[in-house]
Amino acid sequence: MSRSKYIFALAVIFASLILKAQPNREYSLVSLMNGQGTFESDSGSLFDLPLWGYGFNKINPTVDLPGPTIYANQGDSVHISMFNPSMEGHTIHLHGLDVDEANDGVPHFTGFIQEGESFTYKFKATHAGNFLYHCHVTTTMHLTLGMYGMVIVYPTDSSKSIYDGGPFYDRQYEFLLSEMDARWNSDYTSIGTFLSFDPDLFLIKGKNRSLIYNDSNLVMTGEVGDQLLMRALNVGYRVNRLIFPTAIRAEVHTSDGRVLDAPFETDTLIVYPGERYSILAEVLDSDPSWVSVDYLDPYRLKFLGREYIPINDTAFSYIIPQVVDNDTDTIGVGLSNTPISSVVIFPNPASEELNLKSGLHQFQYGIVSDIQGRVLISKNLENYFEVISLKELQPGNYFIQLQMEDGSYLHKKFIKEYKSK
Amino acid sequence: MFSLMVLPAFALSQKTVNLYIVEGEVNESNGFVPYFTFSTTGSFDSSNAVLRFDLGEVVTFNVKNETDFTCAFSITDHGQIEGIPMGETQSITVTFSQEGTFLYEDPFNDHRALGLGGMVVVSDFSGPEFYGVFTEHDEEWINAIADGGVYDKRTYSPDVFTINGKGFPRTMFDTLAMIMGHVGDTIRIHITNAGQMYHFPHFHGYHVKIIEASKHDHYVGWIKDSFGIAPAESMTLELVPDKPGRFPVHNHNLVTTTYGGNYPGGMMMHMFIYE
Repeated sequence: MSRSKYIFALAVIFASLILKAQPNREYSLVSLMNGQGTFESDSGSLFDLPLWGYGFNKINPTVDLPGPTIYANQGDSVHISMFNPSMEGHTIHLHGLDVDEANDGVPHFTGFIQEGESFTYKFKATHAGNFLYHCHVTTTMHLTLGMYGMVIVYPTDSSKSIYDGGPFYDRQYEFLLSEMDARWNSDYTSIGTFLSFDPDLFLIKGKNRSLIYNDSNLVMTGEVGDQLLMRALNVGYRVNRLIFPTAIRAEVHTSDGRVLDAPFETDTLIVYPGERYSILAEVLDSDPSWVSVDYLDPYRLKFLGREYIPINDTAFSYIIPQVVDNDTDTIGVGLSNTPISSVVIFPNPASEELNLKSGLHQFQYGIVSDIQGRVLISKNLENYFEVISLKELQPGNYFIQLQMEDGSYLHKKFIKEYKSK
Repeated sequence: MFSLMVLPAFALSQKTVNLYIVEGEVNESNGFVPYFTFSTTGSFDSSNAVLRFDLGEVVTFNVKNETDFTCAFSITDHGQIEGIPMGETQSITVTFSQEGTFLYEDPFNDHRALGLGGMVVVSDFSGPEFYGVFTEHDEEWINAIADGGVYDKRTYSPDVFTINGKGFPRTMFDTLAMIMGHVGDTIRIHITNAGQMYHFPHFHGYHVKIIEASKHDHYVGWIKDSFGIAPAESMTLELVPDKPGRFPVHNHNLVTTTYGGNYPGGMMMHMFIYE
């Protein structure tokens, strides 16, 4: 290598090092313990609760619930400086961004930001997708009191695609799912043991009930054929179940900031604590409808509460969910109560065949009936994955009753359509 | 042709494992909790023995019941001993012809809730492997089951959360679950949920590839940092660290990362990765 080439190569390396050190995105946050949020009670009245949380670092900073969303493009260097004017130590853990130890925000390795101190968290956004951030100090308490937010990473060129080279969308919506125990928030000094967590507020992006429908960012809108990107992130301690209406065709494309090799269509999606998904929803019917978001306990996936994401419905009002409590003392623990969410039927609408997939128990028996209740198909089943031929059925609406090997059973609705090809 | 030549070698690799169902106690909350585990030595250890076999091994398990109630023994997908009266030993011979991570347990009368749930790993993998059995414990249940008493299945309220029978920080001294390795290593992590509730492992620092999941089979092939594992489910994960560092792996139902109701504790293990 000639001398001039050598100097040029050095200059390129040096320049790239300087560029690398320069952040593309800079955020300046504060951590606070004196916030306040407004929520809706079961009776429909509004009430305030104390919050801890993050806000933008400005004069008279306030707590946002969730904290300010951090946006970046894939490939960006992101710097988040955090100033802590509050009386307890806090950190930012960048959940799912695979940062190095120094920027991971875990106090038992790297300490915490003490009162009056600042720290700048640095990371590179290596993958497009959905991520979380939250305080990792006494996390069981600090997180649920409000110390969390989202990190959304767009593709390299910030195009309206889910990831580089991925499918395009028309509009995107961010659904951060969490829950709160009002008793904990109203007086954090009297929480006692952390085992007492018993959430009674179920939140979508920090809001519940009518506060969701009144937020135009949380009401999905679209014409037939529009592609809506739903980002679903669970930062709570409970299991979320999304039930999609037939007015949209929901296809799951990414999970935890990674592209799925095989995107899949589903009418139900479980989002466990810490998980994130990108779901592309094609509008099939522009009449008002909604996505149900259930909050389930981690013991037996028992129903705790429900919130709704309206679609094309600006006059939506809360529907009190009709819940059948299946608990009896003859039901075994954990396994014997097949949650409807563990069984997926697809495609729906179907034409030739209906696929049945169970995540928990093997199928034992399947009965297809029409809406008048006439049994048209009954079939012995035995595996976790089964296929039922629909060749004999006329196009229309049908029910399928599935009995599982543990004796439990469940119902699902599906549509047989005219062969589209 | 080749497989026919290999087959006799499989049949020859026979092994005998003696398992003892023993009672002891663990101190993971505010007092001592009676506890039962499977032991290969006959003396009590709060961790159920992790049983690892090579693909193709034929293994005879002699299971001795040293408790004062009837027990049973099963390995998921591999067979079951229906009843082992107290003080007796019964045997089962199993051929491990399928790679994977499997739950073994005493399936009789909710006995898994006493602590009687462990992990069988069948693998030809030659790299570093680590093992975590996630379990939660409800002291009232343990007492009621062990004494033949009454417990209400609707009001399960576990207060102790462990990995291999240990809560953080004791997980740091558990060679099974303390993941140590180097940048670029291919590391396998076997996890089993021997509890009665769902658990939600979250990896700091790295994503892992799910290469096997006995119930959430749609996860297979996915690259994840957070996921759910159902009761009685087992999974095999692959980790290839791209940087050095010390990172936790913990349950993201943060109620379970407590010890005696205080944070941090319970279901939290760690990865120490070196250059």
